[in-house]
Amino acid sequence: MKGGLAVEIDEAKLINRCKNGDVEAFGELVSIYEKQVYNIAYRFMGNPDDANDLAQEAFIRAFKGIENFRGDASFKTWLYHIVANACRDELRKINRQPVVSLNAPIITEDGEINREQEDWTFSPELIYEDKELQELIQQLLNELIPEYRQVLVLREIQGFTYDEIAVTLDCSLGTVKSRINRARKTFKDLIMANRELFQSPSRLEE
Amino acid sequence: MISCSTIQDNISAFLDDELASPEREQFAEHLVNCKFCTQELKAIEKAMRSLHSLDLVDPPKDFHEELMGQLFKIQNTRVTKTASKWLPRSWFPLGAVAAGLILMVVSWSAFINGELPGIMPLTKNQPLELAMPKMASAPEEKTKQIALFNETDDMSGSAEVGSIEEIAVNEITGGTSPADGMIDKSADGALPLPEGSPHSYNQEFRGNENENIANNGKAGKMGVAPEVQDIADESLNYDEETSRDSRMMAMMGAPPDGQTKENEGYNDLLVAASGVFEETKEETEILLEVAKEELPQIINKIEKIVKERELEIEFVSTEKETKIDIQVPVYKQKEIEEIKLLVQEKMESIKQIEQIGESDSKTGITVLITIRLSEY
Repeated sequence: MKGGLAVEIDEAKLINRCKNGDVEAFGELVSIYEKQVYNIAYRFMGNPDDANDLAQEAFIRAFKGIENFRGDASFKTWLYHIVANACRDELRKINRQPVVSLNAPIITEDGEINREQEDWTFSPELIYEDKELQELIQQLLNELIPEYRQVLVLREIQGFTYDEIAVTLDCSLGTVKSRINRARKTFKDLIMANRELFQSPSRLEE
Repeated sequence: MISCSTIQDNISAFLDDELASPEREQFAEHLVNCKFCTQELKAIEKAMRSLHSLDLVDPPKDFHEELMGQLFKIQNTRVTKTASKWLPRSWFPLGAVAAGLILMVVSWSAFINGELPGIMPLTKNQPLELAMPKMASAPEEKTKQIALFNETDDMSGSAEVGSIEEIAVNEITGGTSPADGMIDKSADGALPLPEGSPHSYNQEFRGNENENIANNGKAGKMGVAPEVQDIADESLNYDEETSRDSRMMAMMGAPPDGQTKENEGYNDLLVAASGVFEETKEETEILLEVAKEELPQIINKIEKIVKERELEIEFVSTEKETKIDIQVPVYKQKEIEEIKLLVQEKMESIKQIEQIGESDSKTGITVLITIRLSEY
């Protein structure tokens, strides 16, 4: 996705400057990756506040550890690895067993939305574009154990290859394969179990 | 015939085109005949589509700014290191502690011709006892070498705490080129390290005095063989900050010939040291013993520097003591280095005087310079 030799060279230059303590140079790297990093953190953590904290934390870790970056993997992979770890650490720390009740109101920017609302009449084409629906999907994602969430975010949302995921999560390709498979199945089961919330069960069945 | 459970295990691999050729065909074949597996596959595809539909969300508006603020703060903290982190309280015996060595080669001439007329003749003509090896083949120019010894953590990473940084200055007569040899030696481990020291790393500075001293804060990144840095970083089990702490280091005269006989040589050098740096994250304290007659000069110089940079400064003088309090906003961290540089010059000049017995501590005044970091 970064592609292009020129981009890589620029990035390498920036990284070298960072290694010499150039904060501005790191700032440029932040500009390039902050949205992606924030999104990964957001999907991992499931809420904007934690996402903000963890994305910042990840960049700070990256900044402090930039000297240890040797270019074996791409900077992007290295950075996402840090984000993934920061989020995993945090999830372990808060030991947040995902016990989101799906009957609880969904909090959105516009206030609470009651899940049991009867008149959700989305046209099938628009259904997933709806903000509340996205929120609901995120809630389901939050129910997964962190390991499953990680692979789904990286694979389905970030579009990582299996190899990239293996590097990012520091595990074997075999682990990635089986974990993706189980994560998908679990997530599918979650959606099936809550299909009434989507008001369009047939979409998920056939 | 493949079982449904095998198919189930491979649904993802199939969807992602990760199945090799024979399995892939077998998989497809199975689907044709198995409604259950087909449904499962489709349900998963749809569930995944819901994830694909998730939009990218924007980070909060102040995300970048907030982050950069933190990064500058961190960088700043690195520059104003705690001496205490890496200087064990008990410098002697060096025993189990690894001593890293950093050499700094600086031009003496700038200093001599510099702003300290009062002491110039002394330093010029009366080299200190603790001389560096005689350097061959050189212009008349004098080179001052300051060897910087850096105590690092041992393998366990347990940081002993110490509080002072001591400085000794040597003057050598001779050229700059032999410095190469000396540095090479030290890089080879010729400079003594305590037995059993797991690691050390060596750094080398060259250039003019100002640059070198001002760059202290970045020493960790300069002139270090990457692999050496790696060793230091990893095996010393530093956190990143601690590893950078290593850049600020005790400044000591290098023992003759760049090689000491164990630790005795260091003792002498330490005795010669007089200035004390004490740094914490928020402030740097520099304690000087200054001859009375030199005090106005020092104060003037500091005041000038500080005022030029629009920093806040406060003086409190008593008979025995002068306190100088300098407030430096975080974003002006370069100024800290400049001030420290200035003070280092002073300390060196003071030392010269002391060395030749022209300064009497009884007639001296304690100068406490505190450089404080303020948030804004």
